Amino acid sequence: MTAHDNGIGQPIDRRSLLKLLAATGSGAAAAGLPWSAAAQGAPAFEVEDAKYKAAYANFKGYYFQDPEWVKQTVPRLSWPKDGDKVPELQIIMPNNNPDWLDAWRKWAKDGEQIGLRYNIQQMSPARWLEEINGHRHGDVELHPSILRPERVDPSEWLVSRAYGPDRRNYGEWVNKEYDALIEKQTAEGDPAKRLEYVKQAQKVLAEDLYVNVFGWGPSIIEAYNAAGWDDFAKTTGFGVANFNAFHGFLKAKPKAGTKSQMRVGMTALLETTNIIAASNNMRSIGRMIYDRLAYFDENLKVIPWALSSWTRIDERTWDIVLRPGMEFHDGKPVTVEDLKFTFDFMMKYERGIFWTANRFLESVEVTDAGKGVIRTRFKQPYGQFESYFLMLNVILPKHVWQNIMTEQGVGDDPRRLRIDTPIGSGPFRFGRYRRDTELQLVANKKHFSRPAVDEIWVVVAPSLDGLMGRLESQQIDVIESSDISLTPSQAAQLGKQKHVRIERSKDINWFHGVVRASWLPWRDYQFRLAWQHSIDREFLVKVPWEGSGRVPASNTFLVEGNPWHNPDLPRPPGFDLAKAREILKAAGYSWASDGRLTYPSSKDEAWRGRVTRVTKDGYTWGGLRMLASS
Amino acid sequence: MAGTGSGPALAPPTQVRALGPWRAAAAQARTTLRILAADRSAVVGMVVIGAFVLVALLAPWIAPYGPFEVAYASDGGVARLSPPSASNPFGTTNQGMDVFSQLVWGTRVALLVGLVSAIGSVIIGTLIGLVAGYFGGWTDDVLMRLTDVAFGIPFLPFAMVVISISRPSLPLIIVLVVFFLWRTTARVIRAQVLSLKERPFVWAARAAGASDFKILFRHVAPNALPLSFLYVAIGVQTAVMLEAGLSFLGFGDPQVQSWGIMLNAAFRAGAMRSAWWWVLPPALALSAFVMAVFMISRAYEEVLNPRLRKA
Amino acid sequence: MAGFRRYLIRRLLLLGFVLWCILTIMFALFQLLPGDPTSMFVDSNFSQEMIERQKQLWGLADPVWLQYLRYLRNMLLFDFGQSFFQNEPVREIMVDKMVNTTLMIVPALIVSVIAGTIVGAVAGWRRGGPFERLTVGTSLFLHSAPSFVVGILALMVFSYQLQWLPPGGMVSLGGPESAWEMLVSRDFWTHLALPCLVLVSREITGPILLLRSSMLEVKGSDFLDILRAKGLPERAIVVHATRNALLPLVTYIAVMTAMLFQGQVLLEIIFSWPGVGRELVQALNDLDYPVAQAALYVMALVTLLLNLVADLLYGVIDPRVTYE
Repeated sequence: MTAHDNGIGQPIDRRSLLKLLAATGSGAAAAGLPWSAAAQGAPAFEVEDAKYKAAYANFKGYYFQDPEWVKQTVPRLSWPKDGDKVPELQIIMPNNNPDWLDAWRKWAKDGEQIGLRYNIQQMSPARWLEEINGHRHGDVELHPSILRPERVDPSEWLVSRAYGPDRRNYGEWVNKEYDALIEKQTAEGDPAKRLEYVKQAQKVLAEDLYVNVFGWGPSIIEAYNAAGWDDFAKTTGFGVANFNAFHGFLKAKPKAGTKSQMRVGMTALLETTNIIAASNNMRSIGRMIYDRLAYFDENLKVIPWALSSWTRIDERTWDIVLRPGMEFHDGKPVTVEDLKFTFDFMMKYERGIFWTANRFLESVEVTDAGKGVIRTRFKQPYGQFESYFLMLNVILPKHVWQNIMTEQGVGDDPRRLRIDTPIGSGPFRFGRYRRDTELQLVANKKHFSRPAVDEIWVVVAPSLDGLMGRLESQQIDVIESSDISLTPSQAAQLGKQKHVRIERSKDINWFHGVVRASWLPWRDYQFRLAWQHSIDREFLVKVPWEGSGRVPASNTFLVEGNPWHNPDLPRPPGFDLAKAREILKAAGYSWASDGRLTYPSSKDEAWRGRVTRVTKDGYTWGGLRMLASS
Repeated sequence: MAGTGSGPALAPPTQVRALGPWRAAAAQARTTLRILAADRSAVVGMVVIGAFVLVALLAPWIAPYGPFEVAYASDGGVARLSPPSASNPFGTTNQGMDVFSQLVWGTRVALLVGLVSAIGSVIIGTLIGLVAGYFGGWTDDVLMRLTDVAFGIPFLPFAMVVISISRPSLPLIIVLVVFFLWRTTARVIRAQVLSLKERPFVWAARAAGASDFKILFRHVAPNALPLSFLYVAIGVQTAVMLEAGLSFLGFGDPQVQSWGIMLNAAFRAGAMRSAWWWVLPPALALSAFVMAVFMISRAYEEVLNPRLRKA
Repeated sequence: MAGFRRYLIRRLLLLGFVLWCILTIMFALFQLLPGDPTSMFVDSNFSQEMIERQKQLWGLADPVWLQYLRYLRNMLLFDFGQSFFQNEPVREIMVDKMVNTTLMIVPALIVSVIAGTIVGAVAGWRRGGPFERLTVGTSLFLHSAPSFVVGILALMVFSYQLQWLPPGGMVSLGGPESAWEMLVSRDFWTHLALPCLVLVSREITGPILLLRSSMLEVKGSDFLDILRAKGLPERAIVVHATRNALLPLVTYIAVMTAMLFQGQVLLEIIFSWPGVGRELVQALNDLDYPVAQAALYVMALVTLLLNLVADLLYGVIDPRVTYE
């Protein structure tokens, strides 16, 4: 649990209690550090551009208000003395990504050759999430892309990783030119202009070397029972058997002699049947049961779904038109009343996973009930109207949900509702369900995009080994891939069975690290450059990924294949340890007798300038300042 | 585990009173070894364990690669999941690491975990059992309640929770195993001490004016020691199996190459059903190790309990 | 039997005390558990206010002592609250999973004990013979083989290769739902066969070796000579001997059952059996505190109760044991 004031005025702060005990105890004093006193009182943190100060100062329990963050940050914002070594670089990672650890073992060894020492820790995914959430993750934040429908929009990563005031900007990087571009693209309704801004933003990222894209991948490799099934449609970035992009499941046809009942294997099933409270698979499966307003096709182009069209009236207003002729699974028709009801419901109550989608919604009114037209108005110019608002919202049946809050007495929190059988209008209907074991999805043949198959049974086997075994022995037809991607050797093994076909789809995946730009040594652009030269990206693709990935052609996470990719970016710094040493030497660094890298002299003006400026020449830094010298 | 509940009945060693108790214990140890050497299965067990110890000590010389080293081919390529060959006698993993080397390095971990946990837990358990059994009264009550609490906590779930709290590391696992093992030894030693307490030689020592501690450690302890050794043996098996189980579930120390971690890696890679060269060596090594210790401990049990011996 | 009643009361009080200690330890454990369950939502862009509200809802914002008292009360009343993510009362989830785990353990237990007793008794009686050697040798091996490896091997051979038995789960797609329906369906028993087999192969070694040692001890007893002098057939004497050799087994069963409950996790994962162990692993992963706490508590409670039963049985069966 994180440190929070519980409102009674009593800070119940388990973590800080433990840490403060350490901090105010012998730890800091023994190290003879002059800033041990700082742990007991908040030091005077300064931010280059005052407009960003709120982001750091006002979050309860984070940044300035988190003693642990303060304790970790102070030494890294203090000017080192002559002869001080570059500290051990802290890296944490979750233990369900063994390929990361394998790659980092090599990279750490390489790093030692230029005097860097790494401290790599593995921990449970939950703990890892908590640490990075609180910005206590150390020097590099590692992140993979797990593609989901809302992440096809470039904002998802451009904003969350690198936008100055965003809390998920784990490197605390504030490049004012970048932020300006981001703000422009958020509000831009014209897709062509928006693309321009997005491309420029990528250029800034690539040049400033804040992000290090380690690899483009891993590739999407899937396997299915080709003896029984055909026509699994491929969706770029998602594959053929991914509930997030379920075109594959809609179009797959059983071959002659095969029962029209597809058995899909997953390692876990629904965490809940209440879509508003969804946190995991219910987000994707739930949106097969309820209809989204818009969707994307196999090439990731936005297509109408529950809506038949939408028109932009002005930069804050759209008219949306409901598709006629739809029916809910209990036979009742889908009307514009249901659509309006859904929006009103979302705005009135806690809306769980629908929070992002409706963040800027201001008002909704039915302007033409006969034609099914609703006018939606937003609080500000909204560039993500299609990719967030339309793609993430679903239609709830009014006749089921209108009294359910009072009937079940859950106050104003629909996440506490108990929905035994979700009723939507989607291409699949909720059938037999046994928690953690199986789920039957019956095809809704009246749907406008009706599935070719009659029913899908989702079966749970809690390990990949179990799923593979079942596929090999034909007890399931396909392994669902929203959480699992096969490695080439796994695919090779499955492929040995005659009935299994291996399918490779174009991926827009990536694995990157963002450095703690506000901290030493990362503040020095030359250090970042040298560091990037010390990372052997080819190793990652060749060994942990077993060749199923691409070495990035540029330092961007909108990879080649992604419609927003900027093809005119420079290549990332290549793996060259000699060059790294050269750069460091020229930048004023030296090596101690034990081989460890040492900071440049405190009189090195060029270094001091770079560290103050953080960003590359030509860009402006707006974030944390170095602490006044003690 | 053998000897649950109150443990086997001990035949009092008859030569004790002739020499001082520690020297008598040494003499008894020699007799024990002689008896064990006569038992064929115990000999087999000792040879196997000896082999493992040798492998563990000579690991840096025997293993061609480090525990996490990728075995590159001469052309720089990586041989993944390749069956046993001349260059890799036990084949390679899906990362291209040499299975034979991993097996050798894993021997160190097994011995480390096994011996340290077993010895640690027996030392703690014996001390607690001795003190509780000898002094009785409040001390006994408190210590036995402590033991009861320890008995009530299920190991695997508890270990998983604790490891989730901090990070998976070998020292933590060893501590957890010790925490789990000491309780059996404590109970058994206590029962033993309870019966030893009433023996004439203790009365005699007390009458001679010896202090409690002297009686406890000079007279009672050496007679309880043989039982402790038995539990060291049992502890080694259990410790190794527990570590393997935890590692297989994914709670093991990822910086260390143990047999359990090898199996976990094979399982996660989905290669368990096909890459037999990756699975069988650690599985057989585990079985052989545990079996060998088990054989020794059973033979030892027969030493302690003459009625189990062959006529 | 006033002595016994007093003993029973003492033991129950003791149980209460131990339970309280364990509960407190578990509470402290969960307080220290890092990882904020709301971090699961961070990915979906929850606002700061929403996260605070969620914490309030889950009671995570209350002072520690209040959480502790609430925790104690809930555990004792078996009111485990609502699962964070599954949106269901944890008690229902627990009952479900406990039933599933029990369904796997009990048949294995019965088979192990009965078969193990017979084999062990015979082996002990026929000391030195080939049967004894074979039995002991096999038991040694089965005891030492890691159960998860045996499980996967069994799965490989019987399910994937030979396809005689299903690869996991409790029943086939669309099969019976309630426990009673399952017990009478053939489908369930075919699904149970493999995990049961693996469990038995490991658990049977305990009774076998125990009965054998016990039998060896009994064999030399005087009363058997008396029976022989009376002219009873050898068969009957073996039966008498066995009955006396059973005593240590009785307590061992209780301990064995407790161990079984704990060690289920591995097999539940391999055989996709939706039991308590698997639930705990998942809950720890998701940081679903209520579920994880309840699972740990239930397992500890079962262990304690079974140990108590073992203690009491030991006293009841062995007439030499008296109660102060």
